[in-house]
Amino acid sequence: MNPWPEPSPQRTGCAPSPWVMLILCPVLSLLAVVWHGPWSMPVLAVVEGVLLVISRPGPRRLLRLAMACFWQIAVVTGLYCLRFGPQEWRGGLDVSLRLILVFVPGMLTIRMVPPAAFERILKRILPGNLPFVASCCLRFFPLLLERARIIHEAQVLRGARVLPRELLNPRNWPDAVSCIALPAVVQSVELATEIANSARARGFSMRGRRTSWPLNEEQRHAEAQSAAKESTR
Amino acid sequence: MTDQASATGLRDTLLVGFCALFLLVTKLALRLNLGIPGHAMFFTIFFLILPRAVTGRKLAATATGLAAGLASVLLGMGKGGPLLLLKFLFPSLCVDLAFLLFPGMGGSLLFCTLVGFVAAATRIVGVAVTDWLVGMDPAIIMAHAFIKTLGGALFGALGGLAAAPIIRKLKARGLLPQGR
Repeated sequence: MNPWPEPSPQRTGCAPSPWVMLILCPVLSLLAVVWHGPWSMPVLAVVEGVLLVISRPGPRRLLRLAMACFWQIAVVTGLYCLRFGPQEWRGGLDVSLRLILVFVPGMLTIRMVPPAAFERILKRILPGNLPFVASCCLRFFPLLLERARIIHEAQVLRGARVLPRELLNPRNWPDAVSCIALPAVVQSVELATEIANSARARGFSMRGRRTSWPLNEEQRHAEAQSAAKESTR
Repeated sequence: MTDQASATGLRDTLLVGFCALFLLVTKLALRLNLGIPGHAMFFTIFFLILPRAVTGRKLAATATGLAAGLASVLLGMGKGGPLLLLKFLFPSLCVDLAFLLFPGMGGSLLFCTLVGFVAAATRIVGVAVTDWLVGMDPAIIMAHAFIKTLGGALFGALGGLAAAPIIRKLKARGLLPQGR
């Protein structure tokens, strides 16, 4: 189940600014890992819940998220019970809820920060055209996960022994490598090639001068004027 | 740089980015305290060897490790704060060095297993530095670092073992750059 959302092309409703989201979300993830006080989980859950409501996820996305959380809790708690005995279910539940609190901010960032705004912010931090690459990777990663999920489903249907319970047996691991990992790597290569070719066709390149356009109207006007001047020379 | 070369460069950088993201996501997913030391090293080595073999770029593994390491430091994953970067940097440099010294060996099971083992074992430096900085007794540092690294090294070897057949199959289908 892929809970990662498609990024929204523009800011949703009363969403905080991209800058605030890009600082707030890593801080929330960090707090979910390092803050272990009795109030940590309720406080983080409330803050992330409010952000989730602001992002207006819609019933379908909420259902996907709920399913992903359910599986996460079931798998982690099950592993804890298997490893340490049934009395340790509380520890497993605690860890799985924390993991959800670590994941949700990243998901919200992708949902609430439009790719163009994300790239403009990254341009101030990263050198060269790396912001373009970074934002492309983040933008297309959900698609890659979705393709991997489809590959997994297709392989299960054709009888590969790659269901989670079957993967507990080490004898089925070679199946996972040849049936899931290999097609997923080929899909990654294909997707990267597609993106690179599309970018090249649109004048974006590793050594190009610009990979994002300013939103500011004055800057846009000045750029258009200078381009017009250059073309008339 | 020609347009074609630029597109290839962009494709390779994107692949490195994807691998770094996969590495980060698996690292996040494996933050379970199962009492098995170093189990996260399996995917770390797997996603360090793959971009190096698939792109054929000299510093692809280092770039993947650095990107994933920086993101881990920013997200506060693991113990050690900024020292976490060392734990990614040494294995990735080791992978790059091995592929530089023995080009074209990516499809070999033995080579990838050995590279995975040695690369994962280099984490001992990061662990020892962290122990030293927190003031651990020098006599205990090496023993502690050795115990902490051994499990990781075994899982690293497994990660290399999983990467080798994929590289071999990609090579057989002509999806890898020639001579890399």
